[in-house]
Amino acid sequence: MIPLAYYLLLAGALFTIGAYGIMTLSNGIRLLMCIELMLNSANMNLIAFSTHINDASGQVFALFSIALAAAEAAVGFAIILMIYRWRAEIDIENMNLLRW
Amino acid sequence: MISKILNAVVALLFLAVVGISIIGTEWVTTPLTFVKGDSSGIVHVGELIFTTYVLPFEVLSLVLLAALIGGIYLAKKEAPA
Repeated sequence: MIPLAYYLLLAGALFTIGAYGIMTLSNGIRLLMCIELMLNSANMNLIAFSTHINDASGQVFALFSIALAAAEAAVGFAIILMIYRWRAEIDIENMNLLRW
Repeated sequence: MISKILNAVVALLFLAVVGISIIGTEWVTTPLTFVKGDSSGIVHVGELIFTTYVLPFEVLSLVLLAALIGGIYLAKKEAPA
């Protein structure tokens, strides 16, 4: 059986890659991809802890989380499509309308 | 360029904090029992979805429907005025 720490380290590495992508991005599609990476690292933590405390609830939550990620991606891509129609670009560095 | 290096430093520091705290923790593992006769445990997960977590499952279908309608409404072409 693979030790729990390996799963957690892999999930932490995935989350770090996603966070680095979000900190350096300028593209709306890359934003959504990095958010998916971070969500999937959280799912991996859920499943790893679920098998290591012998309780399948975490796997059910991971399934729910995947479905919610699909909904989030659908709405996010629709918003990016609207931004593209409005500004003819998806560079989110120039999208400072909601920024203080 | 300098901000990208700074971002990489921040991300690596985050990974170091998380990794050191993961490695430094004694994880207590209970042996798996719900996978008996069902090597992946998917039967147990399915039973849980349709018994204990049936209400979140149904609410999730409404959430997906709302996201579908919202996505279509946002992305559809405006009628020519």
